[in-house]
Amino acid sequence: MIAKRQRLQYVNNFLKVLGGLRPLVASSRDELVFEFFCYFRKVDELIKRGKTPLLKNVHNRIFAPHSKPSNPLSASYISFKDVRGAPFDLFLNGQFEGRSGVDHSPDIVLRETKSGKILSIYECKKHSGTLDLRYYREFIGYLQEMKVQPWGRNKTFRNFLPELRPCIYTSAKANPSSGLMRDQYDFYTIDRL
Amino acid sequence: MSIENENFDFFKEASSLIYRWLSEEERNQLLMELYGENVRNIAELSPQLRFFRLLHFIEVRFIRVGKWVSRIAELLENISSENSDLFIEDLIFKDANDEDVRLFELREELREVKPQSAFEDLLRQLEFKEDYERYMSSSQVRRRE
Repeated sequence: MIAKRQRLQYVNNFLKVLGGLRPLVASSRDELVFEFFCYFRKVDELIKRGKTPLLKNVHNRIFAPHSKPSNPLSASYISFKDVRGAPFDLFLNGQFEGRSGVDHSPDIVLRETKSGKILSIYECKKHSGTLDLRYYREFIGYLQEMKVQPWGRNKTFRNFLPELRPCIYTSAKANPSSGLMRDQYDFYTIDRL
Repeated sequence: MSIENENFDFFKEASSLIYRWLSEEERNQLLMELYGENVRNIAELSPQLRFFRLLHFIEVRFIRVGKWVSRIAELLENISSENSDLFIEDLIFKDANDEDVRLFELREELREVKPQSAFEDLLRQLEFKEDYERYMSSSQVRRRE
């Protein structure tokens, strides 16, 4: 067995390496990278479903979505063309008015281009451990406010395009108590990312 | 000193070393996450759980970002094959201080530091690879045993 002093030295050396990483993840960069990762995961899912991506608001080849909640149309985003249905847009960090009139900014929003109706929302939670139930409650609040409850037109849409189901992406472990909420409000969690 | 005592002391001292190394902001983040697991303070956990919980926190805070950036590059390759012509070199975001961050440059800087290798090396050196995997696959909300 390795001596305690030697093992503590290994931990010390590791922390020195991490010191070099700190500036790279500072100023919420790690969270923004995680949001980008989730955004492009969703783009990939939609492409695999046969949707054709079209880049919007790209200048000099630079694709720069919002990092803070703002007018969704004032930064880069991806639109999808589909001859069988209406075109729709996927935004990162856009701001949208909720049912109550209050502005909200779910991390990723899928919206119909013509009607402006929000089809789905996706939240990104970069956490360790087990995801706190309060994030599920907050997510359900978003679903209500953005009118993406699992009935009527939304239900029909989700039947032919399952990617429209709202989702929480997280680096944490899904909360074991969230199952009933998930079933009731028809969303899912992709965890341990 | 018995192996159990030696391990107990190591977990205690290593946890303290890591915790003291964390920034104020990181400690607050950890505390907030622990609250969600019904743990009010990291000291409530046994030294072994405390050590693995801190390692896990560090993994998510510092290590996984390299994996996410690499995955973005892979996903963009799929997207580019669909005529959208988008590469990691074209991606920019503003960080919380409004500084432009080019994802491509971030990937290069991360490649130099090799966070994933450093983390795996540590687990191997400490001979805790299996213990950490077991911790990760078990419930992470247990209190002091």
